This record gives sequence, structure tokens and C-alpha cells, in this order.
Amino acid sequence: MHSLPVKMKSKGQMFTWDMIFGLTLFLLTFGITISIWDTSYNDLRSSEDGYEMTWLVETVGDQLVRTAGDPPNWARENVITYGLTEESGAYGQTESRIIDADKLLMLLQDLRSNYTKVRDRLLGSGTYDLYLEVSCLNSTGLTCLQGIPLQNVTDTVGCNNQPIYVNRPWKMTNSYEWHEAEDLWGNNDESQCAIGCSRGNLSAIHQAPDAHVPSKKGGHYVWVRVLGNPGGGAWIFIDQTAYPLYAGTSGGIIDWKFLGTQELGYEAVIGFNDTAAGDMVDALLLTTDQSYDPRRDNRDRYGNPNTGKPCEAGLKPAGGEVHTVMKTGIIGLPPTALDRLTGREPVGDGIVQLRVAVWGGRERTARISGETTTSTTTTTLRKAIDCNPIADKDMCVSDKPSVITMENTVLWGAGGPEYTLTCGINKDVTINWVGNHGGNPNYFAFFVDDGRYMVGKCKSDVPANEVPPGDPNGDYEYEMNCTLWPDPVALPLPNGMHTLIVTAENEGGFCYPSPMNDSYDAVMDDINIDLTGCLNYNSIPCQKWAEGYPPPFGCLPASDSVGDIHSLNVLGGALTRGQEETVEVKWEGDHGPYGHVQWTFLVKYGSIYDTVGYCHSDVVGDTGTLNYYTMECKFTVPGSIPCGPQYLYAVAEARDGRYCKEPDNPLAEAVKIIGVTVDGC
Amino acid sequence: MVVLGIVMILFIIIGFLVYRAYVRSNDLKIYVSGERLANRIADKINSLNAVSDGHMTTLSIPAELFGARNYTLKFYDNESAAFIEGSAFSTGSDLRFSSPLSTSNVNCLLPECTRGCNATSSEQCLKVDEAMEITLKKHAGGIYLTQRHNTVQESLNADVAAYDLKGKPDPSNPPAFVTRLGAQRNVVYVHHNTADKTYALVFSMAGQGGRMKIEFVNMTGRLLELRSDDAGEFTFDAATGLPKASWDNPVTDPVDGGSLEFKKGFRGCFAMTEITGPNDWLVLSSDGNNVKLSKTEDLVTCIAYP
Repeated sequence: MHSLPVKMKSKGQMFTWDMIFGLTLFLLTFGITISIWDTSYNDLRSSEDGYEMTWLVETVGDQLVRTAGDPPNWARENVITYGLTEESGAYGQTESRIIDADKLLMLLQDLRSNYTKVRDRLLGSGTYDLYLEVSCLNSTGLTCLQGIPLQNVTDTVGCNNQPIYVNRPWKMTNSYEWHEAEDLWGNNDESQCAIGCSRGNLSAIHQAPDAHVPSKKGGHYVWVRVLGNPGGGAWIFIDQTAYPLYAGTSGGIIDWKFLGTQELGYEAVIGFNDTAAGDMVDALLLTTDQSYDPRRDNRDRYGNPNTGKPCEAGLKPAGGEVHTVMKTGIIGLPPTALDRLTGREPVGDGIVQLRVAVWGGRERTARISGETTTSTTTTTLRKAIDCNPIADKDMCVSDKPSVITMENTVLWGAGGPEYTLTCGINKDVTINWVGNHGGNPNYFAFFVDDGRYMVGKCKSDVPANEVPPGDPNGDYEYEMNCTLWPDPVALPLPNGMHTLIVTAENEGGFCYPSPMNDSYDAVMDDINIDLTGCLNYNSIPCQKWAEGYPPPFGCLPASDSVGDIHSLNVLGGALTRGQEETVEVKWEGDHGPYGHVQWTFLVKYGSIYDTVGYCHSDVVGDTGTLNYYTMECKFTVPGSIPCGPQYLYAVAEARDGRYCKEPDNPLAEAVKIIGVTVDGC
Repeated sequence: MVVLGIVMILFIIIGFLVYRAYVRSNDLKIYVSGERLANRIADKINSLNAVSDGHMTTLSIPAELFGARNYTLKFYDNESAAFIEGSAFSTGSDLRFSSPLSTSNVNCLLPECTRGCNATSSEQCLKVDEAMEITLKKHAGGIYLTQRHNTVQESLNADVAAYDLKGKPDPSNPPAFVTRLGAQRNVVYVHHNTADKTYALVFSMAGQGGRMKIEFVNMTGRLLELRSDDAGEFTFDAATGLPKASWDNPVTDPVDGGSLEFKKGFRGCFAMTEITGPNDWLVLSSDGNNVKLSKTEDLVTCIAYP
């Protein structure tokens, strides 16, 4: 018997090629199995998240249009559950799909100022995010929400992309009835549209017949955009009230002209007189908004405040999986005595569409608490980059086609998205954009309202491993963080809603927005922000001399001392007959060579201007500087003023101690009109 | 040995990977079952909340989540969501699922809501350890998790309507729909105070010469006040903290009795431990119908409203 060699014994017989092959095959099979298991798990998890989001969006949509909320007459301070229908009867019984406009606006306000609260209450947790889009079914823009009476909401409501203006004195949403002249009178003529005509046409109005336009009952501010013919003597008639068509027009060939304030019924008749060949009109605007000035929004829409876009509120994703549902409802109106008698629910004629969207686009933990999280939803993530502030780099270079597409912009506060910009306080902003750096840094700049007011500029450097544009993999999705620094010195703008404009540029440096520059790669100009704390007004008294009543009236040639009157407010909310009321005036300008500005306050009812108060402010030596003043004037409201919604005028006169009580007089230094409610009858 | 060691290490790693995958998939199954259950409960409550008062529906809930995990259903004041608290398969630690509700006015009157949870005053919880079919009722703007019939005694199931009155019940001066039954009567009825929306369970005994003792064995709802026509007859049992009554109606006293006043809905279960007198005990509906209770001593009767 031969013994095996020692060498063979020490090697053993397990380590053979068969075993290597078997082990490799096993590991390969096992790896594939684990991989399939993981894929299957992730698919299941993703599918479950999809189901969950679909369920949530349906539930939230139904809850909003079919329930009144909890408590049924909820306000922003005490809301537990958001529901938008009107409460009718006891115990929160409700008319399904009759939407309470106050509740809708309060929901939008909360989405803007306290997003996380709304999200948690609507979705039951913070796992997913949501946003709403509000639009009108049978019209573009938000016309179905215009001219709606309100009970609780008094402040303008901000969507992320546009404001919904609220007329505080008249307790309603403002309406903006826009009429294209060519729709009313035909006679299209584009020959004079070199600087732009809304919807591309003017209308020649010589010998035009009367036009009947639908209107909303109540007071209106009437504007018309005319083709300048300064020597022309044409008149425009609104319901038999005549206004000179050309007197007072200013600025450019074609301009908006404020005709005046006027009570309208459900239909207005518009006609012309003394026209000549060449007289042309572009558009007509009937609005209840005392502060809206179409001359300030002339860039793209030629003063048309109706953007045609839905109101967006909440946190909107850039791409990714979004689950949506569309619900409709009719805007309810306050019941009249007859409605109460018959028990019917009065409704408006506009159908509002509510698009609810739930999404969970970013990587997030499983919807479980504590340390037990074991799973994640895997999605394609946007690449996070920073945009670093730069001192100066204004070398905007035209570089078309663009390599940057901006998708959305989110301003952040402590508790989530927050669209308030306060002067002196830096603000974090995230811009989601798609594109490339093209081998150079990209430049972004931020402005309020227009190119004069910059609030930030920054540079995004080329990330490592970015392949150039044109490469199949060269289209990146970026989530870019930036910081705004609103400087109060550079931002003399009043508190309120303003537009944030973002320009993006791939070459050279940052770009100003149009019309100062059009070379940017991309622009986003529909971000609606609340601006606060930027304009500091000097408080000055407004007092009476001992001249008694009446004071010396007269409108003398303007001295250009008083610039814009920023605001006119009745501090008590309404004018009460027989009581002393205080009005606050904020304005910019100076007191001229005489050191005085005389202010006259008038209430207009029908075609009558009734003087209700007057005072003068005195500052010597402020001429030649731009000053911002705030002052209060007290007066007792005469008992002759009819009760109801009326107009209050403030008229400034800076010459020779005279008071101007003719707001329509071209010599009036400055005029401000607001709607007021007169009570105490 | 080296090869064997490598193989062992490989198998340990493989075993860990398999275990991890198994745990993940089981956690996912718990997640799915918990989330869907929360959604189903929310669906039922939201559907009922969208209709007017008086409607009802039923809700079936399982005894456990996936993996034989017990769970608790919770509702909180001022929070419009249904919460389910379970435990993870992997660690046994708490898992919480939530679904949004269209109301925060959810009230649990089930006996299971009074045991098993350390519920605070702003919290209601239902510890589930068996499959249940729950009745949901919409009443006075709120959602109530309650029993199918509002009067239950052994095999007896009946429904009675509450008596509406602007004011509190007066046990010594019963309303006309009670006195209509005649001088010899013993009744229980539900009183609804329309002024402050409170409810009361009222006992009224007019069977002269009768005697009765009652002990409550279970009670849900927020008790506001316990009243009796004679002091000392309707009190709280020091041992249980629940009400107990001992009424002895002499010939000279036409009416005896008391009432339990609750803030919202209620469910009271009581046993008559001593009954004398010839008359039946009736649960009286405000529409005049009545349900005769068995006079068997210690037999538990449960009356819930809504």
C-alpha cells in the first residue's frame, strides 16, 4: 500500500476548480436574486407611494369642495380642517361645491404665510408636499373671482405668481373688466402699433357706433388706451358721461388715460363724439381697483391685469411625479332677504376650478416615526448647487439659443415657503432650472418690479464633471440655492405686493430685465412677493391755518413739487357722517419754493364733488430732494354725503396757499382716489 | 481551513443580506397594511362627514396589522387626522400612520375606548386586539364610533330617540311623554338639552312602593353632572369611580330618579342589582315607543347616544 505524498495531503480536495465554479455561480445567482429583490422592493414601495398620493389628492380635493371645514365657519386663527364650501344651517351642513370666496382666499393666504400648517392639516402629515392651482372654468385668468363680496378677508391675497386684490372699503375682490377696442368697434388697424398694441390691434373709432359692454354693478375707475392726437377734440361717452379723449394723456405715442370714476350698471354704453379720421383706441379697462395703474404694467400685457394664468399656491415641484385632481365649484354669494326667505343658496355665475397636486419628488424617509425608518423612495434627484453672491458683473452677452430654462423659484422662511421680502433681512431662494453652464459660470440677478430695483445677483460655477451642452447627457436638472439682500436704500418701494424678476445669463455677467436688456438666457417675471420695511416715511403734520371755511380755493399751474401719492387711507375703515375722521396720506415729493402743500379732501357721489376736509403740510427747504412723507388729516364728515360706497379724493396744490378742489383740472398737482364706504345714516 | 473559513464568512454575509431583505419586505408589508387601514378609516369618516346628520355606516377593522402586530386607533382634539399606532416588524418600535380627516369632531363611545390606552383628555384611543365592526353615526355635526343599536340588553337590540328640550332634565318633574304612561311607571330616557347641546341619561321611577339599585359597570363620554331628586340617592361609587343609585320610592313620593348629564354623546352600561315593585322598566323613546327591559338582576344594559 502506497501512502499519498505529503504535498497532496496538505492541499486537501475541497479547493478545486469545480468548487470555484460552483461558488461563483452561486454568488452570481445570489447577487442577481438580491438585486431583483431590491428592485422589486423599490418598485413596490414606489407603487405604494403612488397609490398613497393618488388617494391623498382625491381625498383633499373632495374635502375642499364638499365640506365646510372645521369649525364650519373657520377663520385663519382657529382652523382645524380646511373645507371651502359655504356653511348653511346648523352643525356645519353645507351645500356641496358652493365655494365660499372668503374661505378660498383664506386658504390661499395660509398657503403663502404658513405652508407647513396647511400641508399637515390637509395631508395629515408632512410626508408629501402639495400645491393648488385656482382658475376659472369658462374664462382665462381669475375673472370668476373678481367683484366677489367678502365677509372676512380685507387684505390683498397673494398667490405665488400673482395677487388677488381686495378692495377693503367696499369689501370685495377687485374686478378688472378689459375690453379690446377692436372687439367693440372693429376697424382693425395695425399701422400705429410700433410700440405695441394689446392683442396686436388698434381700432379706428371715427364715427364708431355705440358699444354695449357687460359690467358689474357699482363704482368703477375707467381707463382708456388711446392713440395720441393731442390736438384732437374727440370725446368718449360712458353711459352719457362725457370725457375728453386726449386731454391729459402723457408719455409716448400711445398711452393710458384715466377718464374718471363712475357708477355703472350691469351694462355700460360706450360711444364717441367729435372724432376725426386717425383717432384710435386700443383697449378699455373698467376696474374697481383704486390703486391699479395700467401705465405701470406696460411691458408685456400693455396694462392688462388679467394674466390668463391660474393662481398658484403652495410648494410646486420642478418635474418629478405629481398626482393631481381637478375639482370645480360655484362661487357663493351672500344671501339677500329673498334668499333667506326662500332658503336658496345664491351663487355667482363663475365656476372656479381647483387643481390639487400632491407630490413627493425628493428622496424622503418612509412615512413612519422615530428611528424605525428603514426604507426610502428612490427617485432621480435634482443636483444641488449654490449660487454665490458677486460684487459686480454687468456684462450681459446675447447667447442664443439659451442653455438655461428656469422652472420655478421658491422663497424660504423659517417654516417653509414664504414669499415675504423684508428690507434689511437676507432671504434664501431656491431656483430650479434645467440646462448647462456651457463651460462658464452662469449669472443670475434678482429685481423687484423692474430693472431699477436689484435685490441680489450671484454666480453659479461649473460643477465638476459637467459635460458640455449638446452631449446627450448634458441637460442637467439643478436645484440652486441663492440669497437675496434687499437694501432699503436701493429699494424705495411701498409695502405691498410686488413682482420679483429673475434673469439668468450664461455668458459674461448678469442681465437686467426687459426693457433695459433682452440679452438674458432666461427670465422669470411672475413671482409675487410681499415687500415690507423698505420705504421709511417722515411723519409730518397736516394742519389748518386760521383762514376759516371756505379756504381760498383755486388750482394754479403745477410746480411739480408733489410727485406720486402712494396711498390714501381712512384710518377708521369707513367715513361716518357727523363724526371726525382721520385720513392718512403717504406721498413723495417736496414742498416747493413756498414751503407749503395744500391738501383738499373731497367725496364724489354721482357727478358731484363735495369738499369734506382740508389741511396743509409745511416743510421749508426740502426742494430738490426726493422725500417720502406720511401725514394725517382730520375732518368732520358732512351730513350731506349719501351713505354707501363712494369715492374719496385727495388733491394736492403747492402754489400760493390755494386749495384745489377740482380733481379733473389738469392743473391739479397730484390726485389720489380711493373707494370708501360712508355710513352713519 | 482557510477555504472553509472563507465559505463560512460568505454564508454569514449572505445570511445577513437575506435577513435584511426579509426584514425590509416585512416592514413594507406592515407599512402598506397600516397605511391602507388608516386610509380606509379616513374614507369612511370623510364620506359620513360629507352628508347630513342622522346618517350612519359601518366600518370593519382587522384584529391586527401584518405580522400579528396589534395596533391602536387614535384621534386627537383639534387635529383632523386618524392615527394608527403599530410596531415595526424589525425592531418592534413604534410605527405611526396617519390619514387626513375632514373633521376633528370624532367621538368614540365604544367600551374599548375606555381601556388599554393611556388616553389624555385631548386624546381618544381604541386599542384593537380583535376584529371589530364599528358603527359610525353622524350626529350634531360630529362623527361617533358607537354601538349598532343604542339600547342593548343581552339579546335585546333596540333604538330610541332622544327627547329635545331647551333646558336640563328635572328627574322629579318628568315631561308629558313620560307621565302619559300613567302613575305606575319606571322609565329610562335620553334627554337632549337644545340650549347647550348636552345629553343626559334620565332614570325616572314612579312605581310607588318600588325599590331599585343601579351600579354602572362601564361608561364613556364626558360626564358633566350627576343629579338626583333626593340628595344621596345617586352618587359615585368610591371603589369604581362610576355612578351608583339606590332609590326607594315610598307611597308619599310620586317620582324618584336622577340623571347623568354628558357634554356630547355617551354610552352607559349598568346593572340593576336589586329591583322590587310590580312595574316593568322601560326605555322610552321621545316618539312614545318603548322597549321593555328584563328585570333580571345583574343583567347589564347598555344605552348609548347617538
